[in-house]
Amino acid sequence: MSSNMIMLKSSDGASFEIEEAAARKSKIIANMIEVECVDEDKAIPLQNVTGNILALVIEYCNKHIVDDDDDVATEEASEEEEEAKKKKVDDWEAEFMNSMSLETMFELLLAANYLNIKSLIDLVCQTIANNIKDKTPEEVRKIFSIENDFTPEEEEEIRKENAWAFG
Amino acid sequence: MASSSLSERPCLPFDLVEEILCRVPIESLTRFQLTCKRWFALFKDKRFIYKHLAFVQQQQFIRFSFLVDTINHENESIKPMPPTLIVQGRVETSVTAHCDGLLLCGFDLGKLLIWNPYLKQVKWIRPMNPYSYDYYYAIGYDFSRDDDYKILRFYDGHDYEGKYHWPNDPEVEIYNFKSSLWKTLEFSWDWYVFKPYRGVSLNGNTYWIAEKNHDSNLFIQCFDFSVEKFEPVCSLPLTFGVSDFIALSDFRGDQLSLLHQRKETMEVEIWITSKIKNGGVVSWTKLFNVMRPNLPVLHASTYICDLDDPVYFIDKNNRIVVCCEELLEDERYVCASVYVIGEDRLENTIKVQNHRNRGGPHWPFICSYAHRPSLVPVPK
Repeated sequence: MSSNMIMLKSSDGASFEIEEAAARKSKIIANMIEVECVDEDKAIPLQNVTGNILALVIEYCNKHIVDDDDDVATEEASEEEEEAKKKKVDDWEAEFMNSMSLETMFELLLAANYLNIKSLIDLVCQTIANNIKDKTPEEVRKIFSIENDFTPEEEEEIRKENAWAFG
Repeated sequence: MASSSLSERPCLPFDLVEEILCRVPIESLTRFQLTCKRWFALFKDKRFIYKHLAFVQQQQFIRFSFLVDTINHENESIKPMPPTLIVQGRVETSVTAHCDGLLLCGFDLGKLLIWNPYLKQVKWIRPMNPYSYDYYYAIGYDFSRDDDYKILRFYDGHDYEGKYHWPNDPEVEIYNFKSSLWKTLEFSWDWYVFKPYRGVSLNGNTYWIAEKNHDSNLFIQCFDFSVEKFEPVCSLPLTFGVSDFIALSDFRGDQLSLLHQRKETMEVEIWITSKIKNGGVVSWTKLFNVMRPNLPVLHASTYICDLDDPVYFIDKNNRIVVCCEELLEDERYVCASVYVIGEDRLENTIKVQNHRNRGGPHWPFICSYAHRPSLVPVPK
């Protein structure tokens, strides 16, 4: 595994140095590296990601390169080791998402989507899902900036149909 | 696009909103229908419905007794089912099969009902012959076509005590929702379903523990709905004592799991299969065993005892969640409980209900079933 370092630059001008292996978690960056449009001295500009969010993305990628390296040795690792390792990653992810605000989660989801990092999209979506599941429709509208386009009659009808779910 | 100010929450494109919503439990989605017309329509979209189903790892118990309740072990809630006019008050039902959140209920007057309790949708189906408790049922579909649901109904020539009754020949019938017709299938027959008799639905097919007529080796029998045939899958990975308890469940949506409790030691072991693929070889791995003094004693029901068959699933934290009934000390009452059993300890016991011991099968027929709540509409 090469330990080449590459530079990423956020939309607000902050630069970050990251190991190539970590950056490759992003399909977009991996692609750029493949087709050699990465100049070693120049930072890759990421127009859609601010510095504070990019820092989170990099923290996530750094944590997860280790797992990919270990995949090669999977066959030798015992099931218990596998379990223990998975538990460690799960705990880290829970801690990582724990104190994040919904605003940050939304920004992070957009960044993960733009950079095409599948496992991070999954993690953030699941965390947001857990976060909203006990909310009312009114609260959910606010969270997703949605306008209620039902007439009061239609709304009443749906409420009546599903009274058990609103109890 | 990302907003420049952190205090302002950015707007997500709809495909990301969908990615979030397919991970939200069904009770919440039912509430979220009110959010806006676009979400309301999304929850009725077939593509979304099956995507959501694939993410719903969490199973629940549904219990038919004097009422119909759902039991969620995570928040320890026992909730009455959303009322469905036809089912409510008709406590002589029993659930006989489950697939993708659709429940098939048998009524004592011979009619069958297919029901999605969360959508409150029902459809009555008239069987070729009247309903009988000796029949087995399954709902399934052709794997390549998700919405082509069928109902299987068969009789393996044995009564529920496993005795063979001459000259009652096995019978197999299949109902196709597309054509609304039953047809009879012909098979030669050398096996019967082993108790407890509940089938397990996995990727459209249904699996049972079965025994050959003249050889006591247990094996997994599958009904493949695509080709409409029974196909034995594999033998069991254990030696089975006469009074042991054994049951089948699904694991992570594409594997089977097997629970075995040894009568002498009360030790519980959980086995899982490799991923079940069409025609592939299936092998077993032991997930774990639990040896604790306070484990419940699991029994399959018999005609002389009014206990429901235990039913279980493995939750996302690899714990056994089992719903079972036990006779209380004075034997006048039966206590229904849900036990949550981790690899190294009994984590929780949720008392569901006590009811009078009726000393045999009586109205109402009490049964529990593990199911995955879904948005799958009842086939027309």
